[in-house]
Amino acid sequence: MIIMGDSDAVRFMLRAELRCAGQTLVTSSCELTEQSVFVITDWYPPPEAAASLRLSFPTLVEPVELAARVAQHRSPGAPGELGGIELLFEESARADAAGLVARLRQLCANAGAPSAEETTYRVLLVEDSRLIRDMFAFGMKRSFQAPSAVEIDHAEDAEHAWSQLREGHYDLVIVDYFLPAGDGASLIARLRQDERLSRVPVVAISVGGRAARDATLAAGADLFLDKPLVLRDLLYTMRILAHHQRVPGTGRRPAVLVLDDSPLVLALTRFALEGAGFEVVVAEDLATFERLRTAVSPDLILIDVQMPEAFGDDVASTLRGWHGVRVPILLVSSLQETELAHRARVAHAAGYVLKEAGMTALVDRCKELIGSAA
Amino acid sequence: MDELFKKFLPQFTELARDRLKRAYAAAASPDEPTLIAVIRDLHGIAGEAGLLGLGPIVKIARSAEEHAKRLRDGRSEAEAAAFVDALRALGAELEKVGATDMPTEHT
Repeated sequence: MIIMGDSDAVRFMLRAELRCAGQTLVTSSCELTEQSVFVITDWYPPPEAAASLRLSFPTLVEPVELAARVAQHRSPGAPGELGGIELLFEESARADAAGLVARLRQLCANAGAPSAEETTYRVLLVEDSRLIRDMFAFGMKRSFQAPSAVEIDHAEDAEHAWSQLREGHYDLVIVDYFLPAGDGASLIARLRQDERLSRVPVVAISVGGRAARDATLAAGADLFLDKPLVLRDLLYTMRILAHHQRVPGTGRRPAVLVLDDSPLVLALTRFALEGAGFEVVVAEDLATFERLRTAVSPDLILIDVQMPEAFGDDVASTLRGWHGVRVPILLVSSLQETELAHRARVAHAAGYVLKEAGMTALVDRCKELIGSAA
Repeated sequence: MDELFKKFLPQFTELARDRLKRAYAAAASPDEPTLIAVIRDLHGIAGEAGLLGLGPIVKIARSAEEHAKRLRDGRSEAEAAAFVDALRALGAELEKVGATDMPTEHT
């Protein structure tokens, strides 16, 4: 959400939390220089009022607190022009503001340029309007030099979105507030309560104005954008996010697919392996596992042995003998070691890990088989 | 891995509390479908405890799982009593890692 302008100003759609004259306002658009900031808002505090501004962007910009003073208002002029207030930074905040501008300019550099190491940045757009979805698809095609840099999946309502979020891996979620059968704020709140999804950046969009903004931000959205969207800005944001998502030196992170009927084991495994730099997708049942296996093409598969639908060694054996899967498969179980070793051998698995050996042993074994991801 | 332990221990103990409650209920009126579910629960406790590095709990959960299997295969009062003893031992071990309000055969 950063646009390098012709002037010295850098234009963003950062998350901006403005506290001034006893009120707090969260907005998502501002223009920043080392000395001042213009915040787009329909609320105008009195001139000379002291203000505190907290600027941030999920996964890219740590929050920066800047002390400032209201300088002037700007009313909306021509159609499409937005009104707001200009704030001048206090002397004490200038160095921090300059540091932030420098950081943002650095983030902008080379964003969107094609690269042999490009990883795909995955976005879920939860939007019931087909035209808006088409606008994204068309805009992306025009905006990205490397078409595979960003992939957008669509969901028309909250329930479908939730299924997709549970099964896949997304780097960004864009949620419309008004959805059929449920609202975007409830979906965001649900996502924020989920162990795995709680840290995914979420951008809420709506024509609903202040009520929709308050509801989605309260639910945990990182940013709120009013419709009509400045699609160009949002696409530019994705280019920057995609560019900085890459793991230096490796390109794509090795992907591990985990099948276990215990949600806690899946959460533990995901936490540890993601911490070690792996991409992790998890399945609690065979149908999900099979769907993910073909969608993700994992570099390594971990399978529990004792599951309600099938024994993991039979699954591994079928993958090897029937589906021709060649990536390493590890059986992970709390069975006795002699039995587990036997089952792994018969299934032609690459090996096994005893759950009682602990998570460190599991992570080390994954690194041995597909290399260190970090 | 300390972070992992701190993050997931509360969820683990909460799950274990529910599973123990079901296990005591199964000991009081054992039937095959319930016992099969309880065996799976105890197996789950062993696996999750293992990944969290809780070795003593793995050992006791496995022992309880074996007792549950014996109770499923030959439902006698002696087996039921041995199973309850194993569940008590498991509850005590869980309390050692900070779990509170563990169920007993009386709750």
